[in-house]
Amino acid sequence: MSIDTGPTVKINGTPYALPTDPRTTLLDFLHQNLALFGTKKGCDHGQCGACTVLVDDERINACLVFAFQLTGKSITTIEGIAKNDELHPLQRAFVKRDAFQCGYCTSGQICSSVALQKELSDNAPSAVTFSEDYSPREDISERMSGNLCRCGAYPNIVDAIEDVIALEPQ
Amino acid sequence: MQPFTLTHLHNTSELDNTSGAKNSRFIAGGTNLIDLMKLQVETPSTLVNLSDWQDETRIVEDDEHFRIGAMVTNTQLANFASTTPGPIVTVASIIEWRHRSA
Repeated sequence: MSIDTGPTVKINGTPYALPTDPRTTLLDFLHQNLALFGTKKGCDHGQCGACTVLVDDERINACLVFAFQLTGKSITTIEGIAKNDELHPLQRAFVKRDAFQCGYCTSGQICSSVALQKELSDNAPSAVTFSEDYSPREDISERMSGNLCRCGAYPNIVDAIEDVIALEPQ
Repeated sequence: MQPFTLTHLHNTSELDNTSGAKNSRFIAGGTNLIDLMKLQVETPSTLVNLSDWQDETRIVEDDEHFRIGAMVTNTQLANFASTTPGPIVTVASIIEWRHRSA
C-alpha cells in the first residue's frame, strides 16, 4: 500500500497514504487501515498509555492525535522496535524481568521506555529531576507514570528499564 | 465523532484568511480537543490544523525576554529551560503538563 504521491506518513519505515476521513486517529489508522494491532486501545482517552507510539523518537498517545496531524512524520510502533529477528534490549529485559502479566499494556510500556532511554541520554528533565530527594529509580517511575498497568507489574517494569540503562555507557 | 471540514494553517500571514466560521476550532496538539470531540462535548464544524505552523515552533531570545512561540510544546520548553534560564520554568512547565494530562 506504499504510494508515490499525496500526503503520507511513514510507519516503521514504510510510507503510507493518509486516511481520507480526517476523523481517523492515528490509533484507528494503525488498526483499521494497516492491520497493525500491536498498539493497543485501552481507554481511547489518553489516560492509560496503552496506545503509546513514537513520533520522530518521541512518545505520544496514538488515540489523541489525528492521522492528518502527522503528515511527513516518522512513526515507530511496537512492530518496528525490534530489528529483524533481534529483540530490542528493552524487550529482552521485559521478558527476563517478567515485567508483565496479561501483556495488554506492554507494547505501550516498551515504546514508552524506548523514548525514556532517549530522554535520559538527551538529559531531558522530568518532574523529579530537580527534586531534593532525587533517585534514578523514582525518575524512571515518574517518566513511566503515563503508562498504567492494571496487573501491577510496575516494580518489574522499573527493574527491566534499570537493567537496560545500567548496560548503557553513561 | 461529528464530521468536520479540515483546513490548514502554514504560516502567520495566512491567519487573516483563516476560517472565522462559527464553531470552528484550532487544533494544535489535540490532546484535549480530540478527547472532547469523541465525547461530542465539542462538535466543531471546521478544524484549522496548526501542525504545519512553522513560524511559531521556536523560542527566540532577546536581551531581556524569551519569546515562546505558540506551537512550542511544554516538553520543548522544559528541555530548553533546563539548560538556559534555570530550573524554575522547567518545573513549572512539567507540572502544568502533568496537570493538563491528568
